[in-house]
Amino acid sequence: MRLNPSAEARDPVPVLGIAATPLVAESDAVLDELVFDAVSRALREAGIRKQEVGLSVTASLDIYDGRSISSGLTNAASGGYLAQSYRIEGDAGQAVVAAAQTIAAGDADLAVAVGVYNPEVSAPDRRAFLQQISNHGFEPHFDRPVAMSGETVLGLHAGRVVDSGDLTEEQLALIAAAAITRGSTRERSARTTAVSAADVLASVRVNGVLRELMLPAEATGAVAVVLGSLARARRALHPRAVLTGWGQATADTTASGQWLVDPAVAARRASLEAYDRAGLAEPAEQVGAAELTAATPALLAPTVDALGLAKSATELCPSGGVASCFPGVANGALRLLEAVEWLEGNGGRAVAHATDLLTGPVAETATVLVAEGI
Amino acid sequence: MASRAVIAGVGITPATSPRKQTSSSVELVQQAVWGALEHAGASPSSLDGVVIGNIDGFEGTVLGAKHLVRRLGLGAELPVSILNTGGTTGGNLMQVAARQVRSGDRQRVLCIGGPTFFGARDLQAAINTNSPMIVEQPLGMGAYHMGAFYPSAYQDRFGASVADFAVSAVQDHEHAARNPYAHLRNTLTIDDVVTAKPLSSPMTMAMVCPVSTSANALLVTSQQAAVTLRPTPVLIRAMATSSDPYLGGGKNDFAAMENLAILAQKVYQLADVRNPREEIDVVEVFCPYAPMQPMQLEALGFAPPGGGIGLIRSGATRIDGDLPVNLSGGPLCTNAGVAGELAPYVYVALQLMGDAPEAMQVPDARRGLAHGTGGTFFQFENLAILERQERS
Repeated sequence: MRLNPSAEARDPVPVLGIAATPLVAESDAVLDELVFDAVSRALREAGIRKQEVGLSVTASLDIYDGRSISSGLTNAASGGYLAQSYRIEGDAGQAVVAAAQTIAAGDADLAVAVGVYNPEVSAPDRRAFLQQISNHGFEPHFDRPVAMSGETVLGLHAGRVVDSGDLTEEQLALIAAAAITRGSTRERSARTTAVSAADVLASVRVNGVLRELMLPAEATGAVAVVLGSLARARRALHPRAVLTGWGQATADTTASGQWLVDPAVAARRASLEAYDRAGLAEPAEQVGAAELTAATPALLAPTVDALGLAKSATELCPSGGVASCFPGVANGALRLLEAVEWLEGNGGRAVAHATDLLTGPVAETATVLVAEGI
Repeated sequence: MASRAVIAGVGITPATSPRKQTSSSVELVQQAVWGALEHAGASPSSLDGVVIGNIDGFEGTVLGAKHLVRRLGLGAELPVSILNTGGTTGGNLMQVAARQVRSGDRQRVLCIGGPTFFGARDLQAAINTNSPMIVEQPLGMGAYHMGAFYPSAYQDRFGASVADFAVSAVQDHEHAARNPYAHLRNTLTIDDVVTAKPLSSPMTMAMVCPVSTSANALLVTSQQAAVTLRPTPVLIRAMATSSDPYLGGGKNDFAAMENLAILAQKVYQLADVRNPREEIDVVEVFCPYAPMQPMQLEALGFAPPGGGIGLIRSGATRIDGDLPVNLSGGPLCTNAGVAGELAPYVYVALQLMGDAPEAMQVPDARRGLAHGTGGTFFQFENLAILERQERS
């Protein structure tokens, strides 16, 4: 098997295993069962025993998990028993970046990143629960009292896009319908029926111009990634891709208004870091596919532009993206999984972009991963 | 290209109780952050990352750090990583920052530890939600109940008395009296500790950490990025974490801190430490309950099993001893949550830089050990060996 990533890449890190639990609306497994399932699958695929893992990084949020220090419960399942581990409160893309940094730093040969998402509250109350949590993620003096939440800012942004004449509601619906339909036949899709723009417009109105089918397709589950050093990867069962670049950036808070006028600024900064590490000078010409986290159709164009992929032939969200499946804070690892599977069918390079969506584009931390096929 | 990471600046605020605190969380963190930048001689614009801890559920916010970091005068563009591993959150910040630097992704990363706790009762109730849900949660188990398992088993194994466990409390208070940043700066006698209100056998109130508010910050940089900074850099020679299972029953032996001993072996190997008692000049361990300290000293190889209390009684761990331990007073005298967990790293760095407050400075300290612990039944441990790096 060839394992020769581009010479331009700085400290490339192979993906030795990547796997997801079933991503479903309601999981009957508890947190540590989900983490164990995903990590075991990814390690088995990589042919690596848990005891060999040098570091495991978990991405989850206590407040979703319904218990303080929930990583205490999930840690052993993630490979942390008598080993190095910690938990990032945020999206799994950050865990992948941290794991990759650990290998690039020479601090481990093998690292696991896992994201888990299974909110304590079931549908139909989950949406209200998530919005209440989201509200608590906003600035306490001015934002919270006026009920700011992730959906609110997404709705305000989409409304601004429509009001400014950039897109009509029908165009937003067309974008959403295309993404849902594209992903509808895929195994991991949470929306399994093709829809039309009319279906999208007829779905429940959520906030302003936004309808339910314009928002991410909520799912629960866990996704795990096993990364290794280039040297160790040569003895892995079948490396699936190589991470050649990664970047992470955080947007500004509410008051600046940046989230309205430049909502993908964090993606832009993260992509610059990732492309620099990967040695990509012309991403529009060098990236074959991009798995994006555009939480609404109104965010698609800004995100694509931020990643430097506007006016390119890059295939956007071949899986349907978050319109097809959005497993909360495990999303960053899922986007990488979709990108890796695309690479296995097409070769070349792909990009995975993720944010946590806790507070929409406000103060979001975005990650961008660049992967090469093997 | 992988490189080394150093600590090149620290900031710390004085601590007090939440009831007496006159500064907001944001103001405390601002003071610590700007203190670290001033100590380092670094400008905010030279930073390229922030690693900060939040313990949601204790703080009344969800990822409050998202907003906090943008109120510090550091600009609006720094990438932010938010960690939460409970009681080891603060101790893990440096390790994450160091890897960002060692991987070549960042040059100057600021670790920020803010206050976390705002009341003792709320705190115990929040900690109850991380305990196992079948038995411990319904019993109302909180942090100090979990902490009491250790000395109880230790008593059974080694015959230690309540008065024996009081020795580290007396010493920590003696040390805290020299530390201008400490919360509890009163001195205590063995009798004071033994006769204090019983909390969870064999621990009394005086053996349990206070609920404090303060903040601190630690600047982690590449060696190259430290060249122009003011303090003598402190090399992060070795660092690691280790974790026990979630259930208390998963521990083999509560009378010995086995997970910490395993971690110490790993870190000593990385740092090429063969005789820790002789090779380490200053120690800060995270022991929010007094009986943990002698057990931790045993696990770290400074004393044989059952010998930790004797080590403290010998005077070796005092400021004028050969192994000064917790000259800050440790978490027993100041525990502000994430800030309290980062504090061992902050104080060891200050000692090695030669920048500790004069009354607590160990002369010529060159190599130090910083430690943290937390999680359910103290399942998580973190540890680092730090070394003063003389400028040529």
